Amino acid sequence: MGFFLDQVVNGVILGSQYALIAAGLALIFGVAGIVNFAHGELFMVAAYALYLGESALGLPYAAAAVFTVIVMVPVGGLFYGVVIRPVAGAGWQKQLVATLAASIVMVNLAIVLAGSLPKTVSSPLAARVAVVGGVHFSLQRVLILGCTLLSFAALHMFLMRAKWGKGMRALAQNRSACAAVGIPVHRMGLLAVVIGSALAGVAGALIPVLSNITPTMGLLLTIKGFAAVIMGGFGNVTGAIVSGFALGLVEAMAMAYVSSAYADAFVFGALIVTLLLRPQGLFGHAVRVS
Amino acid sequence: MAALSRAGATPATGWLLAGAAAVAVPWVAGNPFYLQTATVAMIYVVLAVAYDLVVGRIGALSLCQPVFFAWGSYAAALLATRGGNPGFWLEAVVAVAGAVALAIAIGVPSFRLSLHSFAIGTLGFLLIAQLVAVNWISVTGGPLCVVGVPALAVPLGGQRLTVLSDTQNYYTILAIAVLTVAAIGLLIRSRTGAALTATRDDPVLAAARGIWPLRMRLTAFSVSAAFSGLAGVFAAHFQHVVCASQVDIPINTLLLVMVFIGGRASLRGVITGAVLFTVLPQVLRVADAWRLVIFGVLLLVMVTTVPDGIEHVYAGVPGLVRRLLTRMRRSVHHGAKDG
Repeated sequence: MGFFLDQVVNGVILGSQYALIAAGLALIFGVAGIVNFAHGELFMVAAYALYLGESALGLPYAAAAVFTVIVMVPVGGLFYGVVIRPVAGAGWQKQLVATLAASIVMVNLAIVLAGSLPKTVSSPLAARVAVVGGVHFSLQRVLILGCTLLSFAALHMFLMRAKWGKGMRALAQNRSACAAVGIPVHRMGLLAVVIGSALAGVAGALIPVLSNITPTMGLLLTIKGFAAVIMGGFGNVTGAIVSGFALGLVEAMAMAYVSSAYADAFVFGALIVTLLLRPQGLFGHAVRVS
Repeated sequence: MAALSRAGATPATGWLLAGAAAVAVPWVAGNPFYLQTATVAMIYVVLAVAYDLVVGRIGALSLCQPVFFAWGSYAAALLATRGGNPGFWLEAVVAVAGAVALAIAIGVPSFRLSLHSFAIGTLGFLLIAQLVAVNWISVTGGPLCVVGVPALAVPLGGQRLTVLSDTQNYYTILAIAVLTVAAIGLLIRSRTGAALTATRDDPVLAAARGIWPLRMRLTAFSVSAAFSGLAGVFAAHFQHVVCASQVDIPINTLLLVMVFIGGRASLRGVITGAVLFTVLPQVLRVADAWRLVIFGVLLLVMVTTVPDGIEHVYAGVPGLVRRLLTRMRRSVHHGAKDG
């Protein structure tokens, strides 16, 4: 039983990471209409910002983590200006190539600037272990889960209550109608990318403590985040978050009980089966094509 | 007037010129590295033209093209190293038949999905195939690869020709590339090709006209897989080694770039894209560490500045020639008047 609960904790932590990435992807798709194939690279940049904050600036972990999230705001703005804005309104092929190109640039720039050897960061919380009901987890994991849930609560409040948040939801429903009533479409897109980038920043400030930082760490994460977005129903932020956690749990269980080598096969198997049973995703609405 | 009609006939002339240039490569390429790069470029011509049949002709963003390519390579490598080296024909039959079977197995469930979901669904199959290639060590060698694949043997009329030198390799893949381009070119000009385009542009209308969209999509997907598998057979013998990296995302990304920057559903655009994006990263080797950064930046600039890729440039050429000719003629007339 203890072993099983340990795996649940592992799954939830993995899921937090996927959900943070998936929420940003879903938001950017909903508001800007673009699938950002470089979203995992924003996470990678955030992880290097954390490393930089700790090692180069000598900040303690908490300050470096806050620094990371703050840095990701202008990074997101820059990303929007250079990559997203030039292809906003273009065909999906151009958007796809543009974000893939951005991913290539970011990964290889990281290799040139930081080297391909893994870097590590440390947090005082990682070594402190709490035992609750026979389940051991480090306080860093508690922090990850807490911050993730807090971020989602803030995002939810923003989307439901704030004027700009309501504008974003309206945009996700009908772009041209929004433009007609004077909602600033492009500024909304910029805001969505900045929020998505900040969410990747939250993940980048928390997760690398448990693993290594490498230039290619974001590649598979983009795909799993994207898988969660599709599984949740395209552009549906809540669906993306729930599916992110679900995929994390599937991966942790497959890793523990079946085979660590084939764990990812179960993740994508779960995705494919979900899509076959519900092509519109878990939370999407079926659309009749005719 | 004669000049004008010649400008209108550039397509046929262009194909002949390109063919002649391709045949001449071994004489022009001064060193083996250039010839090997040209050979790799031809592999990518086959892959990109086959891929465009799916992405360009039926508008389905498949992300599992390397599966068929790697299947062809693994099948050929295993037959050659452990199956008694039966030669090209049997390897090609196994590769093509297996690729078609795989395409149908992946295609039937995946084509239930719409654009983005289809992309991620096929990507899922790619990642599963990659995991199998990495972890099924007794067959694929896992991270150690299948090594020692002999040179390609082609049994021909009782004899057994071996493709050894760089030049022989180049002409072999050139023949496969010409075959692929010709076959796919004929296919897209046939009634089936029109049905494919109809399925892409309006599946509902196509279905109303008696075209079964799923059948059309599976046809394109299978033909595309078959040629990718064939390219895989050649690649295994050319590289002498087959690794799991052959069934990885970067190959698909490169194919996407070749097709989209080249111009979807345009044979000449896609072929140019394939050659350009094989050669470009090699040329950028002068800036070793920075080469992929520069490659990505170039890509970003191209995609944001050239509207429909290379095809757009080609499509502009006849008009440009005509305008130049009129201007020249006008200046000649003016010159005559002044004189």
